[in-house]
Amino acid sequence: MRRPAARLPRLAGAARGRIGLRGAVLAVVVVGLVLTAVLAVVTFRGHQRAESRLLGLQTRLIAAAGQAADQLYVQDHLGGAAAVAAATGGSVTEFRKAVAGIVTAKGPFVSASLWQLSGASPRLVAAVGGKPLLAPGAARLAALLRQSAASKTFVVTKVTAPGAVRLAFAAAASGSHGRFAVYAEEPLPVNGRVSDPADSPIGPLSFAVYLGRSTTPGMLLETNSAGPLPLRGTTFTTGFVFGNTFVTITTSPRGSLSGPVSQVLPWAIVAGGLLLTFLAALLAGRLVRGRDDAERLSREVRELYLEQRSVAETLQHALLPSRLPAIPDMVIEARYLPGATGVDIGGDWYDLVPLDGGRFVFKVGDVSGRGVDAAAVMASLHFAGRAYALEGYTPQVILDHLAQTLDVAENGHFATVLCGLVDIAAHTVRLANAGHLPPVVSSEGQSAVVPVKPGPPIGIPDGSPYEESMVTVPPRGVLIAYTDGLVERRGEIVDAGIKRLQEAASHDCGSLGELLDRIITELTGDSPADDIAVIGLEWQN
Amino acid sequence: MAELNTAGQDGITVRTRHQDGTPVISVAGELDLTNAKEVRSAIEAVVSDHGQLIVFEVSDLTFMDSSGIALLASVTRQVLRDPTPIVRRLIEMTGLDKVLRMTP
Repeated sequence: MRRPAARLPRLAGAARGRIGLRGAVLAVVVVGLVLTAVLAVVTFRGHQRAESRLLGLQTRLIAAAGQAADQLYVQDHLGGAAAVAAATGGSVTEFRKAVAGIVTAKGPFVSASLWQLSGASPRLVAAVGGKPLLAPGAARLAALLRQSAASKTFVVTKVTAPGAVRLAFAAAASGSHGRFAVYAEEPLPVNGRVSDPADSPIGPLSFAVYLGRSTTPGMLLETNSAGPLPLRGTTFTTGFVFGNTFVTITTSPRGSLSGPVSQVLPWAIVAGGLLLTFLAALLAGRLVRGRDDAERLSREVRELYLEQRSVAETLQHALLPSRLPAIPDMVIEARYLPGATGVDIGGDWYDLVPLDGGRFVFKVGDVSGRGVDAAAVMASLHFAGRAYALEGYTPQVILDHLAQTLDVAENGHFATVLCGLVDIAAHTVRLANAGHLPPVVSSEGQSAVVPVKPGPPIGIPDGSPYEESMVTVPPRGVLIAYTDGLVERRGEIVDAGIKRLQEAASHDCGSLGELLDRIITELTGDSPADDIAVIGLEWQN
Repeated sequence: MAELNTAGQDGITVRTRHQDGTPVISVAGELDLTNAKEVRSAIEAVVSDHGQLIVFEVSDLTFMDSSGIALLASVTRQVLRDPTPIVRRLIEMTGLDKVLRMTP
């Protein structure tokens, strides 16, 4: 079988430079993973930024609250009591009254004492509450009191004793009766550990509060962290002025401050991204495989199609005589041109059967429709027609017989056939016509359409037998029979095409073959739309 | 009323209606191998019994090839109404004027 490889489209060329199955899946996976990672990192950073911003905000709020509350509380009460003493000349009664509310079993202070600062060393005026860690006479107490006298605000220090830790305050005031100072101690948890109150506003935070600007363990006031200090991880440190010193607060979030969603989001993105990447890779794989399948299928269909066309072409070429039999005293030429429209072959054919007695039968036919089944109809008519001709039937009988073999209602095809019986010596042609276009006769620059009354085409019977007409061809005349592809043009009455043929045939030009070629070129150009079969019979005398 | 429009370069328009109980299929444009199936489905849609008369309105049919002839001829009883000279001449030349009756 002929394989028209050159007509196959360059699918292989199109496939070059394209992504295969593995490449596509790999690309999708890489892109998916990169996108997932970038998104997760961005989200995680955003979460971290939100966390630290919230941490800072909360810590500053705590510090602000501490500064406002603790500072005022100490200054108001201790400073107030000193001012009362300075105004009353150190009245013990007034002092007791002033500190009655703040030195209680519930705190905040466990002890308070009033000191007169007029002499070289402070003099104890009165004392309430429990025993202070810095007993009267202690050098550190005296130093603290002197320090308070020189300070515009209260002074603070941390006092540690076995089993007790306290914050010691001293606040001084001057009045008409001299200079007085109030000393008070506030208990701290021994190891600094406190538990969170149930309604604490700082719920998810660990904190550590130090006296002074450093976070040395010795200066720890209190912490709610059970872990090691200083706090680790994400921390935020701020502080506020507290008396003559400073309070430093360090915080660290225990969980997510911005809520569980924000915390889980990066991981959710990672999980979602991985899932989407997997699905996308799966889809890409399927798409690429689907595309490859479709292309392979398309190639196969195309090959099958070309194969089918090739079969039909082979059949048709096998049916057309490769070389017409030589007829004495005649020149016979035939042409067959496949049409350019579509890939299906048509059903045009011609045939010539020599008989004895200087006679021969010729036929030109055209099966309606195209394709392999049209070619098959053509084959059956071709061989049946040859057989009837060899039997010696006249054209009319040949067509009557052929009409028995085909029915358009059954297989959708019909055929037009022109059949002629030529008597060479007599220059006569007996013609019968089954719906075919009439032949043209030309001689010595003159040409005419042969009037042959058409009967119905083979396959569309109308009940009446075919008629026969006789035409006489002049000496050296030419008879041209053809199929409609030679003369038919859309939008034009068929007679116009026959007229063109008639004119083209009247121009004498060399051999019969050259005449046929020129007629075809003149009437159809180089690429006829429809199939064309032409046979020319030339008398040599 | 059924309508089929094929969007080919040689487009054909097929419309079906009924006139006094007789199906009238109007075929306009160029009827050839590539679109004969449109007309065939219109015919199949209206044929209720085999011997039924079908009127083909072909006043706007400008071209018809052998596939079109085969299609029209495959109907048992048909009338071509008002054919153009091109179609009329084609039918006469094909010897089908007894089979494919034309009016007027």
